[in-house]
Amino acid sequence: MKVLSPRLCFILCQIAGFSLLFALWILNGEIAGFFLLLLLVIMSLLRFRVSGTKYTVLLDLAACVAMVTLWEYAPYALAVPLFSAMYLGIYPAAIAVIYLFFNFEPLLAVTLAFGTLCGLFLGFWERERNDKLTLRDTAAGRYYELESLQSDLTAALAQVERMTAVAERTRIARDIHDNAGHEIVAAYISLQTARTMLDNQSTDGLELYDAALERLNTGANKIREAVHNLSAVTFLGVDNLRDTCRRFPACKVDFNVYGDTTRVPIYVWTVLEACLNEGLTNAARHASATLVSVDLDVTPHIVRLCIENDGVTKTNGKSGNGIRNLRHRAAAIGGSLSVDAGEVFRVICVIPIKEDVL
Amino acid sequence: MTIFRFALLRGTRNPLTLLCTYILPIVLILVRPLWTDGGVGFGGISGGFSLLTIVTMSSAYLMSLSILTDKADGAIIRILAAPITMRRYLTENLAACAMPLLVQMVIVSTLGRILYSWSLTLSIAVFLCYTVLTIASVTMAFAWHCLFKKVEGNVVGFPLILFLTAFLGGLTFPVEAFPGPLQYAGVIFPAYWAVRGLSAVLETGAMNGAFWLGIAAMLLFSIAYLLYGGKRRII
Repeated sequence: MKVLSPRLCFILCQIAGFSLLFALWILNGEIAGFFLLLLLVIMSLLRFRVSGTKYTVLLDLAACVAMVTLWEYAPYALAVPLFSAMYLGIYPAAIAVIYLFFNFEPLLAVTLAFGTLCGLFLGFWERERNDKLTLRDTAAGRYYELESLQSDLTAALAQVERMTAVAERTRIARDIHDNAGHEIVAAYISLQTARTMLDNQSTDGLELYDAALERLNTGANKIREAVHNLSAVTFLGVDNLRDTCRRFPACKVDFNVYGDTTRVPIYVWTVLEACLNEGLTNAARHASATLVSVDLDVTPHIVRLCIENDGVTKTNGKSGNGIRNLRHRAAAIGGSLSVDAGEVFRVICVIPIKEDVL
Repeated sequence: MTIFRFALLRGTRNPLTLLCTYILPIVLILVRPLWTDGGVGFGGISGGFSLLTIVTMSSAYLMSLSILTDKADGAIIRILAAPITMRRYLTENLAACAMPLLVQMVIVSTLGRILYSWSLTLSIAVFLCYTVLTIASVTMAFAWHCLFKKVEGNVVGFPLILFLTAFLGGLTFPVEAFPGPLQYAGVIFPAYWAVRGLSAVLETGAMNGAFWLGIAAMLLFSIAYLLYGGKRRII
């Protein structure tokens, strides 16, 4: 259904104006009057079709004034271009009413005033409507830009995390190869040589054997050192979730894990941690829960985190900023987040596990 | 000129278009009783002119049906996706619609002068008048096509317009025979001005002011119809 807009009203008013003028022209059938009408119609169509031609309305006014001597109803035709001029915001065109000072007729004055006021009204309506539409479009544009930016940033974060994991893996491989690897290979060669010497009852074999043991000891120490350097000082992954649940002060949190959590990539844990924090914060702030149940299911293809609380389940149907942001973050890595306010309040986050990023 | 050539070829596919555009005008000019003084007279002009006017309007409508077909089946969107401007598409299509009729008008004027001893002034007036009427009819048909979204309404509505044109435009009865304001109702059709211009030439034997007014009115109508149609309407 077409909405009644100022432009549509303007077109309908113009059609009505031309119809009335045509009816007026039929009264005496003056040829000049018909050509004036045809000219006004053409100019209106021109303004309707070609942008930047609004000032041609002044030509319409001039034509009407010029035709006054040729067609007795030409002054009434002034109402149509006056109406258009006011609608288009060409207010100086109102000077055309000066004609009334030279030839005042009450009916003509009413006609021109009516046309002018109608044009003014429709013009103001159009401009106000356009302003509001512009404001709405600007706000919507900014909102979509922010959403897009947030989505890009989340995707970039996931990418950086993946790159960090790969870089770290490379560094560990290099450390083991450069430090411990060389010592162990050297010890292996020494032991092979020592074995030959011991078979030949050589006394140097024992010295070589001791040296190999020393090298093995050094290699083992370097591996221990590397592992010590790699060990996290804070909890990671499922341990972090468990620790968060354990330290939650508002109520008891029942945390259950199913499946192989080593399959979950590091960048997924960040989203899961954010979900858990949001779910627990909501349970404490809005639900007055006495028990929160957290289930983490890891299958070969997805990881699913379900946070339930037995507190208040009523919602106003709108998601808060936290849930909305989490939705974006989950969506950025191909997952989803849903809220179920049934008998218990439940937040479920499902994220696919991609084999290639493990 | 690809669009022009194909528009011409598409116009010849329909037998009715072929009949109206290429055969009927020649047949009409060869029927002597329609053009002589004792012939059946419609409106203010002889029957031949009236029938030629109706044939011209019908041919313009039939020839321009390709624009309607392009619009209805969505071909216009695909055509405009190609490096072809809307102006070129319309110009070549409308030129292809008008061209066969213009050639017919040359033949009719020439045959009229040969067969019925028309004066040079009358021959030129007939050619000029029907050339401009052809342009106005083609643009009117184009505007008519732009008015409708469905083909059915368009095809059903045009005979009504043709009837109103013939009735109110003075092609069947002299407009002076109509009561009061109805005499002026036909001015919104280009055919009215063609009849008016030709009547003036037939009466006075010269291309006087009334004739040129008729030509001017038809040209203004053409501009109005072209402005009404256009990219936004046709798509």
